[in-house]
Amino acid sequence: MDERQRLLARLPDYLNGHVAGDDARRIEALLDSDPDWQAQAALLADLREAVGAHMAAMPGDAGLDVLHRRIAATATPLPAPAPVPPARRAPWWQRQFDGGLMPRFAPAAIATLAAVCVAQGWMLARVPDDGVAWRDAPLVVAAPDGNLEVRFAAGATLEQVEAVLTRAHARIVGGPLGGRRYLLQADDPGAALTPLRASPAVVEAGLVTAGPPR
Amino acid sequence: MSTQTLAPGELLAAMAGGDQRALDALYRGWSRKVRVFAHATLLHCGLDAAAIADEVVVDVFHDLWQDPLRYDGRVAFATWLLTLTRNKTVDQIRRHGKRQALEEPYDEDAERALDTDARTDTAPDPQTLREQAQRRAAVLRCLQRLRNPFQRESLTLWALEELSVLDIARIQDVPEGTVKTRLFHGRLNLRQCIERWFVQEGSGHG
Repeated sequence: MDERQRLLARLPDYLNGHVAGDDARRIEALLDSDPDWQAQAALLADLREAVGAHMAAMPGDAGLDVLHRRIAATATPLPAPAPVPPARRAPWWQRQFDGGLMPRFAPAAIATLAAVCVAQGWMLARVPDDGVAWRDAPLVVAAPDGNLEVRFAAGATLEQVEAVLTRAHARIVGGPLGGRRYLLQADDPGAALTPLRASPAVVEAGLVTAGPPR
Repeated sequence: MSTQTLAPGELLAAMAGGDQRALDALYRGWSRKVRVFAHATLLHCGLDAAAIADEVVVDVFHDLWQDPLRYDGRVAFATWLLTLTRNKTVDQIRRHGKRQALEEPYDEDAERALDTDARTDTAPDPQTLREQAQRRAAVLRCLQRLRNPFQRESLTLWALEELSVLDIARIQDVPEGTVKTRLFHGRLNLRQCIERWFVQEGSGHG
């Protein structure tokens, strides 16, 4: 591509204020001197003006009533009161309690339970410690080696999720973490963010920062 | 403070608190852009573009109402909103079992009919309408008549907001170079169409 062609491809960015430096100065000079460039810029100006006028002719709240109706229709209704279950006969222990029997036996029951606890503690203390290996095992299970965290859209289909994971060269290694969040492992987490963020199936995606070494 | 003066991020935060006036303000500020872009994407795909574009607008803002904090500010709101719009529009096209117009055969009769419609609909009495308005109408007609939907989309996005080529590439989910090519060829096709339109316009009244 020659220099002129390269600059012509940047003309839309220049007109929208996204070109600076040398390229901006060269484009400016061409626009000052070259009728073909002036025609290109005029065409884009006409286009912007035409689209702007088209938009301005539309009422800004067209369809707003439809939106309000849809919101009203999909609003979560208040939960109906739970039906009262039919009365049924109370169990025997409840009948005893209601009849005043249990409070009378309560001190004896509490004393018996306390005696059982003391006896079990004594027995456990006398068990010989034979160095069972699992006692020394770490309690923390190593988390999967995820390097990205994503939140999938509520309506994301399995096909969409599979497609975006394939594009991102990533796989799910953890989750659900709540709120439709999952932990991913990607070959190149930085590069994987682009297809993930561009996908309608993904609401948000971010890198997982490394935790402290274990 | 009036909701009309708030930035989209602030309106979304208010919506998260259940403030429907914030939704109305956001809608009034952005629905036209959403509608114009959806309409440009839907043209020539065999659907009622205007009606489906209206559905897309309601879908987009209904989604925003249901989950306003989906927008996390990592890209400009316009880029994010128009990406959501494009996804919704493509979903609608697929839902109706249609494909984008690029893959449709060229229908010369339909094109001629469009030409006739365009002249009768928009060609006003030249003595009563300013030349600039005629040119605007011609540009809009020609934009809407571009056969390549991706060129039409790219040009519409460029004209809707002061988006960069990179922003447009994000919305269309393609490399930046592809957008540059689409904008370049779209401009060429647009210019040819406008020239043809004015030739026909001149012969129609000459």
